[in-house]
Amino acid sequence: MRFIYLDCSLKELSGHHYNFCKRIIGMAEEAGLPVTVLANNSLPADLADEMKVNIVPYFRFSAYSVLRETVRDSLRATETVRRRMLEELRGISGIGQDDIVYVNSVLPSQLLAVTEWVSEMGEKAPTIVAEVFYKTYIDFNESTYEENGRDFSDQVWLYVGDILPSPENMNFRLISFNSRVSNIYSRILHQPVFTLTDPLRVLAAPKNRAGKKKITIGLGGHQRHAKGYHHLEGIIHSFLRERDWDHVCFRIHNSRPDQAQDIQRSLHQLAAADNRIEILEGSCSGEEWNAFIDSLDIVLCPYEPGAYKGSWSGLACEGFSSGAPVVVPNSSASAEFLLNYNASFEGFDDWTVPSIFEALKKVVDHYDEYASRNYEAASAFYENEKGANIVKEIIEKFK
Amino acid sequence: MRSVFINKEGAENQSTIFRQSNAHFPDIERFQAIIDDGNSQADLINKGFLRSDFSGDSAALSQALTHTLLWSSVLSEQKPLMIMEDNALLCQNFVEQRQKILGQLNDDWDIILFGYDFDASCVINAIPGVSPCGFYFDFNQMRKAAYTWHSRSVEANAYPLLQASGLYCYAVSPRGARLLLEACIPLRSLSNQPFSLDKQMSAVYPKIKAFAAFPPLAISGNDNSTMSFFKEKNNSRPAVSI
Repeated sequence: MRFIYLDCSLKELSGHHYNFCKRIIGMAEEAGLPVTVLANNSLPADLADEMKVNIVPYFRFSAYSVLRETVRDSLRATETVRRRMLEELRGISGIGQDDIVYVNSVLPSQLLAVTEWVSEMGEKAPTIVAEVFYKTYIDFNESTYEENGRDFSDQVWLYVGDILPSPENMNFRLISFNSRVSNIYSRILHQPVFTLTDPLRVLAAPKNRAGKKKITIGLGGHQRHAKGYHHLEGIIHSFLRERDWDHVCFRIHNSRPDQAQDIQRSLHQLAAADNRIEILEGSCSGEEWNAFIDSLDIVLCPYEPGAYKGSWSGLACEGFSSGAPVVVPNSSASAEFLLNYNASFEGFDDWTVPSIFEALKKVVDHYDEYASRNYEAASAFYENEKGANIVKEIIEKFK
Repeated sequence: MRSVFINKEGAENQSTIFRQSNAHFPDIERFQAIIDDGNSQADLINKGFLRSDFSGDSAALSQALTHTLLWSSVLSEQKPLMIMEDNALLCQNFVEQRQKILGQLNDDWDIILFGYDFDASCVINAIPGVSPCGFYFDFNQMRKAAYTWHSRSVEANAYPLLQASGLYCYAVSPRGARLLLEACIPLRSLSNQPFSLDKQMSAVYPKIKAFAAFPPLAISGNDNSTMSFFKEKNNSRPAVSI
């Protein structure tokens, strides 16, 4: 039995694709399975060197190649990528029925291609597990039962739900790492979507951060509009206006500063004027990322509530498990996750600077209380989850 | 109470969906579905299991053979049994609600339907002596949300049952098994309709101590593996010779 990890969007040394790959293949090795990774064909060679497993740069399009501005463009891109990915999947030889194929973070094109590929393999198909991923704004009206999508990617997801074969004919399993996300995608796709343990949940034992003399607030990763990055300048201005906050500082990381140049420029100007603000840019290795998370005493996730109601946040989860109180949208899947684990966090309702800052201020003003309670919750979480291994879970549930 | 789910040989995919969707209700044994090969009807008529004018397809006959065999085992073992088909989806608090209903009925029941078909009417004796009550559900809406059912909690009560379709989740007592076997064997079609065991059973419900949970504690996500097998078998692909 081998573990074959497919991720057409794995092409750089940062972000959730990189973190997931690293973590999951580690779990596969822990489970005693030889691993092969098929990644995007633009993957730099140093990732393969770093991971010390057989990584083949292979797929031509990342999952995000299909995000477009119009329905027509979205559908054309979805169909193009579906067709190309199916060609690529058909081109993989040597997979045995006993193997496990894990497909990371599928969007509609990948899901359609994998479905067709599995269907062609019939009874010879190995165990295939695909993680459904990405933000969705789809709302379900419980009275009329209408599904309302906000953008074209939502419409494409709903369309995929309409055309996927019924579950008894789908000889592979769909999964997510959050029960709310599983429920949303079950409704969109009319398929069972099972919940497995988030591989990034627990990186290390939590720290009790209560009593710290200096509090570091931070956020990191690939910054996008839906992550509220454009609100950060306003949040920092509010921070600078606060009195008695000399003990508070900001660490802001953006792995893709080239995609938010105006915001980066403004943040650099603020950082130049106040040494409590630190800007970090570019990719970081797994160790650097873990050290970054560890350096944060409050993790700020100023995310759009609508986008994150059906999308989990790795950052929120990692922050909580390190013992840092987290600020997240109240209605998000992350807030539900934190509530379930009795985390001490603060939520905001409106996606505005005042609303986000008010939540952040509550945590700063009562930091020791939040940090102590969060440490207790994170310790219990760590004890419960430290042995989690989704590869073993897949074998137990789906083999 | 022992619980079984019916699953066709080779339908591991559906078995996985069933087990993982109902992981909150462990200890359900798999029972292999009996599949009619299409050649056994004459033999079954000779043995008195089918009436001579029986008219039904292999899918319906397979389903009936499997369920009636399980009833026979209930009768011989003299212990109630919960029978599910492999498309049953149980609500989050199924175990607790089933226990509540069994407690309410105090061992005086023949059959309890915990779920029933949403594309057919169901009639319960909601206010005995005053009026029965019939209701319909929206099948299509249910199917869309079916796989979120495991996370829903339902508060249900048992009502005397007068009419229902569907066999995907029910409990049968030894007395119920005897009464159902007596009433349904030989299997026969009713009023020139194609045979289905649930229709035949439904005609018996008003005469025995049959109950239904309302709202249902189980729904069905898709076709069970027996139905799905015959659908696929009968699904002729478009072909033309020119």
